[in-house]
Amino acid sequence: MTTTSTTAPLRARSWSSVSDGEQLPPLVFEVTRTTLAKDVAGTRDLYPIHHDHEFARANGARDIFLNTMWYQGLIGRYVNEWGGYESFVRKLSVQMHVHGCPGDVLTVRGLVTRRHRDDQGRPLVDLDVAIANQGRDDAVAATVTVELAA
Amino acid sequence: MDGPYEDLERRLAEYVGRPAARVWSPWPLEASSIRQFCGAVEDANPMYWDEALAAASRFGRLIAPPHALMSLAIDAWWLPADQQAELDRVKAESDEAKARAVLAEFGMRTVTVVEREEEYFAPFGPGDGRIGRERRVTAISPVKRTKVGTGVFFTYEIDYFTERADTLVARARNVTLIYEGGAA
Repeated sequence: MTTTSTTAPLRARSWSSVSDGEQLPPLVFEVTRTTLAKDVAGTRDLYPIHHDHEFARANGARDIFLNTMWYQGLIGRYVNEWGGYESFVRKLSVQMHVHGCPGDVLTVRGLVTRRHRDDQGRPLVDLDVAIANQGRDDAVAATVTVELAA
Repeated sequence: MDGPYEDLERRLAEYVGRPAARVWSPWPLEASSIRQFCGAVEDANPMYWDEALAAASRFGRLIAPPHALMSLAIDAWWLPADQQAELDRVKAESDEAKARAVLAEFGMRTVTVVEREEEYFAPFGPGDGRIGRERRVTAISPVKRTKVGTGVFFTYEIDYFTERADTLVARARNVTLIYEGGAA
């Protein structure tokens, strides 16, 4: 088990109950070499910087590091576990500030920044999501727009 | 940046703006590849795992995490030589490939993603066929010195289509740094 489990698994969240400034419960993920192997296999990204330590070092990284797609997956999971399994990510923007390497312990945190409807009346929530590592609170920063089911 | 890079910047400018030919994912969307993606981040959402619950949901069927799009559309890590050659041929004709070739002449071959932004217009999942993508370079910065090496910020957009219904399901914008990484 490398992550904290969801305590209220995927229960639908009502859009009207969401308020600006609401904080999402944190999620902890411990990154190991096996995490990196699952990242490569799961996202099918064979760029050597994610699996070849020497290549990564020669290219200025401290070790092999998690790719963008893995962060997208983790952030999507985090938001859907809060929004409920029928919530649907509409927009996702991810900025990687420092590499995520084996040995890092990541903590994902989220904050509601806006509740609104789009021109089709869909109930949306904007979130700021940050992934902290042992050295930096925003090792990865993301903005997400999620559509709730109701 | 002045000096040897003036010529580089001038040569790159002509490759910005035009869309490339559509390229298809090697395989159709399948539950197995969706679940491999979910396994990498330990995502238990039943919309990806539980056929009955997914069928009863507002989606009406198993779907993929929309944010798995780039992974599900990624090129095969190996193909038989003739198939790889055909894919390489199509890609080499793109303006993006030509711009990358120019950068490689100047030693800028290492790519790192700085920012990735995606917008999802419609759910997609098993049964939708392959994923098509149309890429276009939208911006290339002047040459900059960064902490990992000298390079350019290289921005491209991708429109994603599902094969069966020919539906535009998503649009992505990628800001990458292409730099002199030291290892080719």
